[in-house]
Amino acid sequence: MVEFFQQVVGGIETGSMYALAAMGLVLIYQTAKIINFSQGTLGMFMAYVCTGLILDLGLPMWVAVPVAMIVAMVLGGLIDRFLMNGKRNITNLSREMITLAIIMIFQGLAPMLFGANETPFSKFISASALDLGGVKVLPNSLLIIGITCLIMAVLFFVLEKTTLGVAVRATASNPQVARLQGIPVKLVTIGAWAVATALGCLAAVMVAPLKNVTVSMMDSIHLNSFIASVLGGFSTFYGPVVASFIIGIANNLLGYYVSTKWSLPLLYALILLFIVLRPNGLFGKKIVKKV
Amino acid sequence: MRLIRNKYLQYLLVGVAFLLPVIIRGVPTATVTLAASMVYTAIAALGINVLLGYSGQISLGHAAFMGLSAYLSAYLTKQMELPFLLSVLIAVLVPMLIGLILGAIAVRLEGFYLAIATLGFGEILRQLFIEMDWFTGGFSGASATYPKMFGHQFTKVEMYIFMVCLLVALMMLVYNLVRSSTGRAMIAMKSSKTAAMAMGVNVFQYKLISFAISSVFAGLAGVCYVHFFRHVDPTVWTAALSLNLIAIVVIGGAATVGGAVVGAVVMHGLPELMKGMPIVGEIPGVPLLIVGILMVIMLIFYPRGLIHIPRDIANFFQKRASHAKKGEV
Repeated sequence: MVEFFQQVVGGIETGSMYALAAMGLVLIYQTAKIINFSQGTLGMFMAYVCTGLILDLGLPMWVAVPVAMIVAMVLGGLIDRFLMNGKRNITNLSREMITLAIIMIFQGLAPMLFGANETPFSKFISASALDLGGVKVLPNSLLIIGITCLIMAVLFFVLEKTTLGVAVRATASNPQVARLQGIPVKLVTIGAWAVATALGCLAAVMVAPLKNVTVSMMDSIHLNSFIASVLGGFSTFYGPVVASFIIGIANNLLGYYVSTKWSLPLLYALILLFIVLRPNGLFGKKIVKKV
Repeated sequence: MRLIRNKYLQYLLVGVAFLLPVIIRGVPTATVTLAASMVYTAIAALGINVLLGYSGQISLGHAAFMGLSAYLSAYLTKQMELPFLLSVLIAVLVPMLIGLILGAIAVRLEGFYLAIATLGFGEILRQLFIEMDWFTGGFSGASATYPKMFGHQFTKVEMYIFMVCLLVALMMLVYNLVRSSTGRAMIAMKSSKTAAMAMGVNVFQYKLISFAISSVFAGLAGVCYVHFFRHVDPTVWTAALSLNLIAIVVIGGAATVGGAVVGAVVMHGLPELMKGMPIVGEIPGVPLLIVGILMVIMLIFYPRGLIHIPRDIANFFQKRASHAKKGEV
């Protein structure tokens, strides 16, 4: 039973990284109606920036990470303003293709600016594991889970309880009507891009100690957060977050009880089956199309 | 002029253009290799174009189909020592069957759900490539030989010529396909599923057909890959390749036969061209950066695809000419 909880805690930790990334994907999907394929790559780039801040400028980590997140927000806002909406009449398909091009740009920029070597990245807290009734938990894992929960709580509070949240939700449900009612839709999408990129940055900084900072460090996180978003349903904000934790925990449990090699394919197969049986995700509503 | 407008002749000319590196003496082998990677990508992109451009279905799993065919063909020719054509037939039929299954799933799914289902499917296949050592050689990969057909052993150049011929044949095939009733039904399905159903198009059937066709194309591309490069390992067949195929179709021009080829040439040719340049090519990452920037510029200012550029230029001059005439009168 102790092992079970050990796996669950590990799953919650990876799940929180997926959840941060998935939240970014959904924010952009809801407001701008596109899938941001570059989320992972932008996160990777920001992890490089963060390493640069720590190693070259000698900033302590608790300053470097927030600074990197602010840079990420600016970057995200700029991308939305100048690439996504640089010209009128860009179709959504073109926008998604542009995010693919952004992947190329930043995968080119990262080795150019920071060198092609793998860079190690230290944990936030390097203290040894705590023993919680047999389950060993690193303080760093607790911090990751804590930060994720805090951010999720703040985001959901803003989305559900504030005027800003109403503006975002109105844009999500119908951009034209929202604009007619005086909501600055363009600002909302810029804000969504900014927050999403910052979330991607945070996810990358959390992954960095586990995988080192490399160009491909975010690939699997991005893939799983994408799958989580679909599993949870792109039409809700909380669905993808829940699905992220489910994927994180299920992957660990399958790995422990069934097979480490086959846990991920097995999980994907289960998700595939689920999507076929429930084509709108865990919490998604059926979208009725008009002809 | 009319002769040039003939599509078949145009496709033949494309084939001749691809053969130039072989015809001209003294072209380095690296160029032939580059051209070969353009050709096999173009074949796969043609299939994606049938699926995405004409039928409006998305798939992020076609890279895995390519990989599956590549491994199958390598295994069948090398371990089972089957004749090349028979092994190609099997290597293409298996992805087609899987494509049919995916198509059956696709009937229930749309948009992102379809994308994710195919993506998950592709990742499962890729994990199989890594784990099934006896079949795929695991991480180190499987090797293959240049094909042997009718008692004749192909060389590298002959294999390349074979690929180009295949590409030209497939382009003609797609051209005919989209002008047939099947093609019209697919296009109707793309613009509105409900309207197509109301007009008596069997959406289920045509989704299956478009998935099957695109899987066959992906399979052929995989076969070409393995018998040209003579080696296959699991790092190639990632979701990134599937995304790349879609980008090729969009950049070249969706729902055009030539678009897939133009896209493949540009997407493969540009980074190599950049690498070859004096200052630019020496800094790591710069070629990728420049291609990315070019892609953004093109998508923002020319979203319909590169294939339309010549016609638009012609139209522009025609307009100016007619304006000038009006001015004289």
